[in-house]
Amino acid sequence: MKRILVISIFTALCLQPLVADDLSDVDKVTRDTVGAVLESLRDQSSDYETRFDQFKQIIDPVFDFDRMGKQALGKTRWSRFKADQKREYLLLFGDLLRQTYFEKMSLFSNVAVESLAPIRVKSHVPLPMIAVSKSERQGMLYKLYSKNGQWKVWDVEVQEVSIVKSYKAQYRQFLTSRSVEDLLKKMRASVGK
Amino acid sequence: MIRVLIFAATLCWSLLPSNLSAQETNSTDTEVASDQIDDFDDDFGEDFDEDDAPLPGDPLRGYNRLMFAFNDKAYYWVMKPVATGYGKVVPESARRAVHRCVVNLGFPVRFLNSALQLKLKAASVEFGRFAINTTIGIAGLFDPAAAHFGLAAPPREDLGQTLGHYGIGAGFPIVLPILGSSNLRDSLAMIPDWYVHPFSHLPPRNSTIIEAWVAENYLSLNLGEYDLMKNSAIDAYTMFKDGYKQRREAAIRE
Repeated sequence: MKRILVISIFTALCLQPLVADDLSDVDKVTRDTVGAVLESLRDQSSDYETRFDQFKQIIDPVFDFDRMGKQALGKTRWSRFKADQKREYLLLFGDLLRQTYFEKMSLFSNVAVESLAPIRVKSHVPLPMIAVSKSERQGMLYKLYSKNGQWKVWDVEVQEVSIVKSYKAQYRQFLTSRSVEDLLKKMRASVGK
Repeated sequence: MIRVLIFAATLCWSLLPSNLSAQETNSTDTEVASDQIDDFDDDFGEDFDEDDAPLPGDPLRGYNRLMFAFNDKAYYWVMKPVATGYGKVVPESARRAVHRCVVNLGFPVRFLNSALQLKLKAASVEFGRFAINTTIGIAGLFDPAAAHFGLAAPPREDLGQTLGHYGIGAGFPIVLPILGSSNLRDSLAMIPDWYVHPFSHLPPRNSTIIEAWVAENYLSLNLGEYDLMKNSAIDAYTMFKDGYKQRREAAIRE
């Protein structure tokens, strides 16, 4: 499934900040950026940390990790967190997603991405894309919204599985029997902190 | 009259979606800037309407978690080492050809279930792909149907999807040995599907060996993906269970 997740990253990378209402630019910018990212990913001359830093510089302006983290937790559970727990949770969630994306991306580099037409749906814009590998064509969906006049990714679906919904299901289950501190402890362990 | 027209035009302009959007954006931006942590964006409710709904039922949770742990050990102790060794010995191109051949052999299941759901175009494409790939594609080792005849593979159909298409609910989640996450409907539907599949007509011992080979061949082409998913999880069992649920619901909607 999941070689597409990788691509997702690339794609996401592509979604460089745009003027928010100019949907016609999404496809071009996406293609241009994905091409540049794919090229940089194939460069294995630098070490892991350098590549990871470069990766963060590319995706951080595009992914709204704070929003993803809040949506994944859900409003009911969000209200159970104290202010300092909220800050730490958002930091850990961002690190977790960056780490996951990067590792997936590192596994798969020889893929191409085709984008379909973005269509505005209420307050956000789903951008369907197709990842083309040697033997398969797999769909993915980037969900973007306008923030400060720029497009931001707030969820990614890979093979019909929403990353935000996936984390939401886990948080709901986890926090029915465990505490917020237990969750933070688990997340710290996941990101190696 | 002119005043009425001006008033109407002003009202219409103020209600334009883009204008509303701009106003909302400015408002939201101000709020985010003032307190980014405590703000909670709530305008994507259509995607997350289950926030206060009860958790999905999982009456076999104890067994399921146990079987998930068993499968996890089986993956790390047996399946992954075998697939890694197999991948080092057999070239990737050969393994991909084997995978295409196996997918081609699953034609009866996909064709029948496409037809049962009255997806006649998908059924005809499946038929055309099978005819071309079995002959020109040398028993399905290659895929000239997609490469040269414009017959890309349609979404795969099975009996679980067919039952879901006609309104049969998924039932409770079940983790199957080796096969992983499933649900009651899809687990039961695998039995008739199996009898339609050509492998079922082989002697049991042979079909078991071939199934194991097919599984290792597939795994060798996707090594590391399970590890990455598991490592990114807060609760791996729940993540795989929910991922299966999302995929199946989407497949049935198609």
